[in-house]
Amino acid sequence: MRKIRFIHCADLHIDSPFKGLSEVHPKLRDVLYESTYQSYSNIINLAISEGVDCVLITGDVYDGADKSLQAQLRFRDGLQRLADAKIPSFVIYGNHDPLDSWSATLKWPDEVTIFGGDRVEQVPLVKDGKTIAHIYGISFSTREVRDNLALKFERLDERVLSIGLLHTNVGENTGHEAYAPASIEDLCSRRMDYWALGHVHNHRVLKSNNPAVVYPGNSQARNPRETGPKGCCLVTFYTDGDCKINFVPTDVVRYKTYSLDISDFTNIDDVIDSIKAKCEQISEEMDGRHVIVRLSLNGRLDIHHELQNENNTKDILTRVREYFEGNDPLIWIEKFKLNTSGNYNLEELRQGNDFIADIISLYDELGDPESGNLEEIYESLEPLFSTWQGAKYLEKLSHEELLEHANEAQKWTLDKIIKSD
Amino acid sequence: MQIRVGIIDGFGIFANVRITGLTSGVNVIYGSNEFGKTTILDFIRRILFGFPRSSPSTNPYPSLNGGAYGGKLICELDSGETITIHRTEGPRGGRVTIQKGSVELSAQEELNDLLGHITGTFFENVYAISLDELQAVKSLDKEEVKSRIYGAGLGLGGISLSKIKNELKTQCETLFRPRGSSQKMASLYSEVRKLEQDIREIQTALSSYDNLVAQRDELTEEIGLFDVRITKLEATKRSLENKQKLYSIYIDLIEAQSELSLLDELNDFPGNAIENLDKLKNELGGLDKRIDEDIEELRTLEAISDSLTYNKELIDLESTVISLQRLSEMYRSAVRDIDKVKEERKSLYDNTQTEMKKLGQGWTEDRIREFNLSYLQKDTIHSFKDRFSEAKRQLESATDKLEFYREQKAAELSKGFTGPEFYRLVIYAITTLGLLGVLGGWFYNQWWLAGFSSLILIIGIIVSLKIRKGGQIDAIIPLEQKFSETLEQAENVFTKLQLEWSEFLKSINFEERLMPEGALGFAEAIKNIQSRLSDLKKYDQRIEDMQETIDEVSALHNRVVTSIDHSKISNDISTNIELIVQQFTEAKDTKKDREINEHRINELTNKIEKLRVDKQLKEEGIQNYISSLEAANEDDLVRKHNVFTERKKLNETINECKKIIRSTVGTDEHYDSFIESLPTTTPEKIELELNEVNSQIEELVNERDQKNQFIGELRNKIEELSSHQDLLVKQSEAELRKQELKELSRDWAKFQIAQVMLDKAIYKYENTRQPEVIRVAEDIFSKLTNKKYPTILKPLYSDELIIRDKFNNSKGVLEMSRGTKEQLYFAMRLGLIKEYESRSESMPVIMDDILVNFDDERGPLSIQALEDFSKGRQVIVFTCHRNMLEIYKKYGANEVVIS
Repeated sequence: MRKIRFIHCADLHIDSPFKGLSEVHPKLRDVLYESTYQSYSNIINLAISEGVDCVLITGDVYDGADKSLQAQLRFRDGLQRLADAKIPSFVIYGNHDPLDSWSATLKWPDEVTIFGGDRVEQVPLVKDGKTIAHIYGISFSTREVRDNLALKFERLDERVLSIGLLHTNVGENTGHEAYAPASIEDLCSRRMDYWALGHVHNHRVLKSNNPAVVYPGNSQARNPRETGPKGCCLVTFYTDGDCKINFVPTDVVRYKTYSLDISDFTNIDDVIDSIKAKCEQISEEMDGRHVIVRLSLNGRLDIHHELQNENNTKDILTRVREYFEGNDPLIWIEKFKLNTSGNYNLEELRQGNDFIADIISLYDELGDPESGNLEEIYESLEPLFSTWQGAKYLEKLSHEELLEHANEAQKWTLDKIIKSD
Repeated sequence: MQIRVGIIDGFGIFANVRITGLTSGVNVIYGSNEFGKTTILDFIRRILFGFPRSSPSTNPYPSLNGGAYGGKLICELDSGETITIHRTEGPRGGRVTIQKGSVELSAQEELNDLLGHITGTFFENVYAISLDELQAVKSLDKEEVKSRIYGAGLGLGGISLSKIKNELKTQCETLFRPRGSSQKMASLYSEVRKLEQDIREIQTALSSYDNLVAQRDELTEEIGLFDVRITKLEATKRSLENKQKLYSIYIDLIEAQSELSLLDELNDFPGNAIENLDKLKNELGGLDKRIDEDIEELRTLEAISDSLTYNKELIDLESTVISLQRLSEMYRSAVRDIDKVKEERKSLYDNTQTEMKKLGQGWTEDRIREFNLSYLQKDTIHSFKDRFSEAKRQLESATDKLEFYREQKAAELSKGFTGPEFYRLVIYAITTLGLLGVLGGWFYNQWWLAGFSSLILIIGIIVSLKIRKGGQIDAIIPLEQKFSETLEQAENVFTKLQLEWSEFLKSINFEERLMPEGALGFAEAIKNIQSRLSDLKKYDQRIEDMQETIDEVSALHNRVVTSIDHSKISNDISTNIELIVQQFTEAKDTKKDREINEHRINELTNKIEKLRVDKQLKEEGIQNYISSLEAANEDDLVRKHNVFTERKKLNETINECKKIIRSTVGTDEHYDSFIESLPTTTPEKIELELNEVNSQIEELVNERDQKNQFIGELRNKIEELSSHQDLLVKQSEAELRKQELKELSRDWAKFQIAQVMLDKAIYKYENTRQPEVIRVAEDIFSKLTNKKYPTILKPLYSDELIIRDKFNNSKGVLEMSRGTKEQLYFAMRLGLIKEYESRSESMPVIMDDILVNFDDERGPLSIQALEDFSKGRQVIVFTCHRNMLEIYKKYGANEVVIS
């Protein structure tokens, strides 16, 4: 029998700007503006339609750095809708929206509980006059919280289902800053029944029961690196202690990165047709959502030189975009990366004794830290990446990135030097 | 590596061709134009490095003259080992096998290993030197020439390093220059900064939200307090306004109350007493008027009755007059038509008599009336008619046929010879015999028999044609007899039918000479006369009826006519009848009018009597009513009524005043306190107080409006801050630009890296290989120019080559003559080959008539230099000039023959 059912979501990042895109169709731009809020609205709709007992929101509701007032108001409006439907909501703030980033004059509905940042608070969840769960939670009071907040949780009543709300980086998840770091053991030691976590943008169930430890992931992807479905968790606890965690996608736009092998293609029209077909296939998999596709074209082929021509690549992109113009849901090819190469054998060239072999061997030496060539390259890039006034907007090139660009530079040079048959 | 034998199985125009006799040193292959020099060059290259993929720019050299595609090269490596490279059609450059002693290898990689990993491109760029290539040096622009000659030492063929470097520089500078402001990245940077400035401004505005909300809330509270004070003052103001407005009403009220107290009390006096009295008096007057009117009408009616007189005698003869009126129309018709009917009857009678006479003697009227032909008899006559018709047809048919056969017979009898039957048989036998004789004579060649038999045959045919067919007359005679008998039988039948018909006519009393059609006509004539006799009878009856009507009407007329006005009577009965009817009708109408009038007189008399009684009762009622209201008389009643009316008016005034006051100030205690407050004040005092309150309210309202206006502005600002999307739009725009910046920075990095690395490669080359290349080239160039230019220099940081003569005069590439440029290019290529081979397996150098344009001095010098160069390596020269062949041979070159 069902004991309690709730929605757990996190990292809504309402009204935060989309990132990582350099070109967007005007229609898609409008969709992206609204996407985080729309996904949040979808979560509220889901909560109301499912008639859940409560909604748990575990941090990063909006990006405090953006200082978006509208995001806060829209968030409050969503909670008001829940309150109107008699659904209580429990909210903690995370590193992106610590307590000190919120407007002091916002007025929350009575059914909303915002946890403070001084200590772990415990709030009973009452249904039909009966306490069906205890909700524990603590917010980030400021952005920089490096303490292990998990250790502050203490279960007060063993008889009532206990749910902990925490914005944390469990096990120092790479790709996310180590705010309020905690280990899975730390969490298990607090004897909660369910850990509603936030901070990590990928949906992950670190532990499925006793206790369940769950990241719902963010509700809407905001950059091309965040691929795959995004949404919230619909969680049901049964009286026998069983816990069922259903991930429900609520996102409206999805990002998709795809490598397309175009080896042996002999004309650009075939390449375009292949891209179109792939994009259509991707769109069909998106279940009616808009999709932003980033393609990389791979393979050795005769028309490599043609593809290298900037006008041709622009033409391909334009033609594919025109083909999908007016499509609903939208299909937007953000860009495609050319990883193709000409019909020469790099390994054979490398073994030669000529000037080309010299060039290749110089590039090969870049991978050798002893050669010192890498420093020379870094130095040559400094005018842009260090001394230029706009350098602050450019991410520093990592070692891997530099080698990647060196590889592209080598390809570009060989393409120019080697005469194709 | 040096080629010893080339075997072309099938490649372009060559099939099963062997190139043998290739040795170390210079080998010359002589052949006219288009004999296939380029084909042989590409054959060698492709056997060594593989067949290229098919593309529009590549000649695949399909085997045009038979032979399997591909071929072999038998080569000697620098190590002295001999290998055979065999390449045939196949995937990825063709199927290659390398026979090395007893070992067979089958991978391109293994062949590459043997060839020192030289690439096909390098081989083509460096080892294959064509005249076109040399000549192209002159057609290139200045910069390109420098690059080309310099590139000759790099082995890049037609690829220009300076072009590549320029392109890289352009790519980099299009994106970014350290202090540039128009490059893509600089523009984007400006846009981002502008967007960030906008974002900061929006965010600053947003940070004021909390302050604005707090101000709004504070002001809302203050306005609430103002509202309370204003509300109180407005209540006071309303009260004063009420006093001001109602003061005169209050005065009316108290005056009315005072006047009322001075008037008599009247208990239960009806408000409509005078109305009731007037109503009773009016009713009495109405009765008087009706009595007078009725008496007047009675007198009028009596006068009318006296004037109404009528003919009583005529009224007494009413039934006779009605009969006359009923028969008058019939009488007029009878008088008018009787003579005409009699005349018609006479005419019909005469015609009938004439028709009867046509029937013959004995047909009297009675016999005619009694005659009746039954249906059976009519049917019998029709049957006789059909039988007579059939008998006549039989008779005519038999007569016609008999006459026909008699004519036939006469015609037959008029034809020629007639013989017995056997005559014809004999003639036929003779004719047949003649025919057999002719056939037999012809068959046995017995011409006499044939001639004789022909004669018999002709005679037989003629006689046969002359003999008449005796059978026809024999057939006609019996038919004639048969139809003769048939005619006789038909005549008998007809005669018998006539007898039967005579008997039948007798039985119905018709004349015997009548035929059936006649009998039917006779019967129809009798029927017609019967109809006429019947009509005559009807005429007689009608004449009798008309006479009776005339007689009856005359009698009735005579009985009545004496009772009417004698002066108008005429001799015409019809006219008199109309007069009688008219006078009768008038008398009857007058009688009826008089009866009605008298009935009305009786009714009116009774009605007047009743009205007089009602009048008396009404007079008594008026007197009783005045007494019932305790009035002495009518005048007293009027006085009492006036008092009553005045009291009522005053009460109404009091109630109206109270109502007005209550509707304004309220009822119960509000009304009472209001009334109590008025006696102590005056209109002037009220006016003063009201002015004071108004000024206070105005002051407060103004202050509140100002605050409301301010709060409205605050709300607008708050609404604007909380609803607009500018922040998100700007942030997204900034992110787009930043991302674009980032991507461009990566592009720039790529080009920058490519630039740095290319420079490093060139630097490495110039510091390691180029000195040796230049040293060798210098040696060759010195020989080519007969030691005129012993030195080649490569200045630092330049890709230009400079030559210096023995007097230390320098020349840049652009100052050199065309021939000198070609020789320098040639020398650099040979220098590179020599340098390259110091590190790798040597390869055969293939030259295509490159020396043909060298002058008489430098040509031989070049061949001599080539001879020196070719020591220990292999040079294959193609020429289509016999004299060049001879010169080559003169300097010890080996001529190779293609078989």
